[in-house]
Amino acid sequence: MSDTETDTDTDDSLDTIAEAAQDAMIAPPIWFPELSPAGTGEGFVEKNSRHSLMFVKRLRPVLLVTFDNLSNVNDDSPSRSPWAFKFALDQHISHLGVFAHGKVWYRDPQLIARMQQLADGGFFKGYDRVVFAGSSMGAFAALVFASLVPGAHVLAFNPQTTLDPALVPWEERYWIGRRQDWTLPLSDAQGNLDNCGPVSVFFDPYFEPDLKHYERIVGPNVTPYKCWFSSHKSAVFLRKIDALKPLMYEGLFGEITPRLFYSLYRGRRDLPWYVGSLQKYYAEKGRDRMARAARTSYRAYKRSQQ
Amino acid sequence: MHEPYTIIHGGFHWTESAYLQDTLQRNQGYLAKQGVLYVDQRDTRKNLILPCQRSSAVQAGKRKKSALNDAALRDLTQRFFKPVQKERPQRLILSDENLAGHRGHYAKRGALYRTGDSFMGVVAQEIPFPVREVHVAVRNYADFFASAYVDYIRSLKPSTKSVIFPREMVDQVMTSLLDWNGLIDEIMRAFSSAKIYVWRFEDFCERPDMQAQVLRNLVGPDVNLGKFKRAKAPPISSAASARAMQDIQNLILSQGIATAVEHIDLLHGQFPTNAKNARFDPWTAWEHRHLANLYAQDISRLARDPGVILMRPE
Repeated sequence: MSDTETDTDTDDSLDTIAEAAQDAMIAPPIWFPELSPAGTGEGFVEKNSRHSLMFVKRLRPVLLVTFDNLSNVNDDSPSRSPWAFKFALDQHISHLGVFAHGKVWYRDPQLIARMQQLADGGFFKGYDRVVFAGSSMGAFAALVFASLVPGAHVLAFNPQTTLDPALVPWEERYWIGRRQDWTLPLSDAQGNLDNCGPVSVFFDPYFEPDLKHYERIVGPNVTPYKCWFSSHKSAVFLRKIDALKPLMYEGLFGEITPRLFYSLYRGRRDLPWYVGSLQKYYAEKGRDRMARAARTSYRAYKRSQQ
Repeated sequence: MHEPYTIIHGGFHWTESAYLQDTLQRNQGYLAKQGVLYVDQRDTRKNLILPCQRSSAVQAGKRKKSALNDAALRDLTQRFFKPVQKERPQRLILSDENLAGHRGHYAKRGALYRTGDSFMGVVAQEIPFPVREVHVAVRNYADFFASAYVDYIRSLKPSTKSVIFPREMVDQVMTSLLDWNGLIDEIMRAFSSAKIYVWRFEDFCERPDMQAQVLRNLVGPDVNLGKFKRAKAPPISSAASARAMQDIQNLILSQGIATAVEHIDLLHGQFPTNAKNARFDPWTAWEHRHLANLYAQDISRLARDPGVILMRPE
């Protein structure tokens, strides 16, 4: 076998390896083009064991700060990205995403100190608007961490205000959450929202725990948006009726108003989820005629749409 | 069938179970004269607890080479209880700290006895007499898991492929924050007609009256503890030193697990916990504080639990 042949063989095998690697290659996560070492963006990733931060600086002068909810916690896929990352990317706004690696309700002294340090160092300054957002556990974090940034806007979907058993003894949903250290700073949204800008709280008033949390933070800058029959999944519900993006957009660049919200929320009439929940509500109250009427009206409405 | 008043001491791990077992073993003859049969812990472990563990693996659908089917298990346990039937004691004491499960899960998963429910159910099923009392000690979470980690490192084998390092265990514990109460609920489910006696390991170490109280509860009111031969007093703490653990970790990282395993005992011997070498402590001050608060809260809940007799120093 000549040297030349050997070289060729080697090249072939390298090609094969490269092809195999290509075939097996995992699609890069959505943040990779901006934040990889050779990426086009500016920002940082701070990986810690309980929470991680990912920041991308973009051109429009708005900063969105988002927090994971429980459903993200066990996501170990390579494609994992912060909550609302794609939306922020599409809007060309800066984004600080906080990843949660446990169901710990952001009760982590290291994270709290880091967020405080960012606030003290002027990280949140220089933007026309800073918006904190999240759902459920993430909405809790949005409420409490927004208090570090005077004037910050908040979009909170089904938030808890605290899980401190001494303050909300009626809250029995999250056992691990309740065992966290609620003596740490930023453990209760109640009384911490006065310096914030508009705080928009989206929740189902028929879902008692969420209603009770909302009632703890009623204030002049806090506006409730009643997502009837969405239970504890208001953000999903709003997405399904194509209302989530318009609301997020207004939250970032304009103003969410009751008029806008309830106009968008009329889209619920198209959603089987809504009519199913409505029907169930009446049936559980023994109002069978109304339950049937809800279903009949829905069918008639759908027919009228065809 | 003769039914002795049956008592189980079930640990938990790292709560000086060995001291109690040693004391009961030393006084086995005297106890027998009083109608109390204490079965040697190694016997209980080998011929009752371990076979039940192997059988529960079958029930849990795990394919293990060592798994045991129902018939084989019953055969073993019947043989185990045969001498008891023959001796007809008034009181039977079984002790094994593995009652609630294997100790290997703590460090790896930050869990408290993952398979307790199914495993203890099998143990309860295999004891031919009604279990009247179950006795267990609990320990503050920080020290319990630190001891678990030291034990985990001691149990490494040259063939072990990967090692969990202390911060990983700490994160697992801090994100799951399990409680003794859940485990004791499992005991109550498995031994539904038994009284559950619980004491704090810390009380046991610090208060000699507590040690007497625990022993008295185990052997019963008719036995004169004054006539007991004493076992070696329990140490206040058996934790390894931070220096030894650090050196073992460095060896694992630099030379590999197999080499480190050869030096583990040597390093523990070279750097014992003393005035110069602080105890191994993987927790931050905040983690210590939070775990201590949780422990206090959980003990308070146990005290309020009508199904539990929480023993306090007299």
